Amino acid sequence: MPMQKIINDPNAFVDEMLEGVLLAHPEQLRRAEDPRVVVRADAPRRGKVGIVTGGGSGHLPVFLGYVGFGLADGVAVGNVFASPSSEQILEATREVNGDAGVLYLYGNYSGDVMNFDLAAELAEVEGIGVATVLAADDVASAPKGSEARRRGIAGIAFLYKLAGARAEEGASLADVVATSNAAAAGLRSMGVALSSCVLPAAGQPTFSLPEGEMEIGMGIHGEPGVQRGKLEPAEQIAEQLLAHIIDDLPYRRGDEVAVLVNGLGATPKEELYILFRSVREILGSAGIAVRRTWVGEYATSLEMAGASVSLLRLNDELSRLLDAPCESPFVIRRGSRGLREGRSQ
Amino acid sequence: MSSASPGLARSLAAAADAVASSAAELNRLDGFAGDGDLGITMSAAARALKEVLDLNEQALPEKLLAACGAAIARHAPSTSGTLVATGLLRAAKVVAEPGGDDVEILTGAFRAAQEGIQARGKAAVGDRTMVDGLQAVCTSLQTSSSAGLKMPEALQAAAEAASRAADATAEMVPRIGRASWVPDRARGHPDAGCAVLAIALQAVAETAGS
Repeated sequence: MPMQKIINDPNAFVDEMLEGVLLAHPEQLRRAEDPRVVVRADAPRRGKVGIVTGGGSGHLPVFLGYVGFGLADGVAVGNVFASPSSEQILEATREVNGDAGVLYLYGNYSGDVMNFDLAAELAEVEGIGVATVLAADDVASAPKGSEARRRGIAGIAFLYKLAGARAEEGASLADVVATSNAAAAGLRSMGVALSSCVLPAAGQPTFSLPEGEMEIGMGIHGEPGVQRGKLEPAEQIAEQLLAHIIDDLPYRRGDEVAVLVNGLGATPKEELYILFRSVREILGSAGIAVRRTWVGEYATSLEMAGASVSLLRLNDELSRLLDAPCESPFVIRRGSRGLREGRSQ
Repeated sequence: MSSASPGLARSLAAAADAVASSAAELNRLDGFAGDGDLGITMSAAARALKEVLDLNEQALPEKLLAACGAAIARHAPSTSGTLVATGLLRAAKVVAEPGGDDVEILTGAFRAAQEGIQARGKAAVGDRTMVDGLQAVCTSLQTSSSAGLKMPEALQAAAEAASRAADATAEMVPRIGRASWVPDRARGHPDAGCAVLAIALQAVAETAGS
């Protein structure tokens, strides 16, 4: 399969993407001295906990797309599927430091952890207090009992929303961390891949998945999943994903949850809603109440086809924070649900 | 150590020079099982170190080590550079604490560096990484300290221990990192990270003894 991409030099993929984003949204985002460091145009916000995220490129809106009001404050952007450097993370840290401490919120991948941890140490030398919360929501990436080894996938979108809203309220770093950890503890995801992504610099599919097959539990970089087999109808896919997710926490009858049905890049929104329809029905039969629903592309893997489902167990605080307004070039919530100030959500 | 330490700055400079002039050999060693760029990375680290040392010769040891760690993190942002930077930052924290004679402080600094590097790199003793060299150095320094050995002799013993540890890795099977993907290709050649440590410590020992 030839590479079907709208690009120039494959090696300029990340930098040209960043240039485009900054040209399109100068009122919301600005770059730091390092072109791979992007922060809110109004950063730093004095007295507010700064939130820094980052990771490899190829997952928009993760990570860059969650830099905005009520979300994260800055991002260090790595090459495709590769960690940013500790120096870039440190620069983002300095740029968003409003003297209330900085939260590192990112996905649990060893290269990212190494660089973020080193950046935290360097920030400490400079007198900036840093705390870390990891997204590790992918139940397919390590068995129950080894939750700390799990990778982060689309569920991180909920964590950005919650941590960002909490920080925007003026909460302390310790309180933002507590809220984020409480949310992460009730967050589980799992995905299914129908086709591979193609790294621009590689020019070849990362893995091959024969026509008519799917892989349950595949990671967002093509990490092997738990089961490969015939492509099933949406109802069976929803059943398989939810069986793993519900059993894992477990989510129980009477729980209230937010649901995220996420597209991996090449799957149309129509299909995501077809998938959500079954997810909703299965949760209903299990006595799990769906209180909030997000359907769309929240964490992608270039042109990978497929989807993931995430469940977030809610309480009053988390529901309130999910409903708070936020705005980035990629994610907009007008606040609350439904209409407000005459604008639709 | 609570006063400025030009001796520490001199030692670090000697280590940087020795590592930089071994760049070709380090690339060659790294090339057997890795991606063959350790000499390039370590040269960048050495240049960063020299710049910091030129500017901070009179700094307190903890400030000097922390500045060196930060500079290496910035200018040599690969896995090995990140790990060396981590080691220096952890050593900086320890030398800031009061206590002991120079050999005891150095022992504590190397131990802290080893622990930090192991935690960050997720390598254990015996995985055939720079951790094996650090373990040998820590053991040697501890032995010297217990025996009441003073600085030039303790450093000489540590340098010899690092060199022996590097030689020993030639017959070890890599269990972590890129080298573990092609374990047979590394056989017969010392681990490049251990070689860096041996080269650096040899230079430091020579400076201290002169």
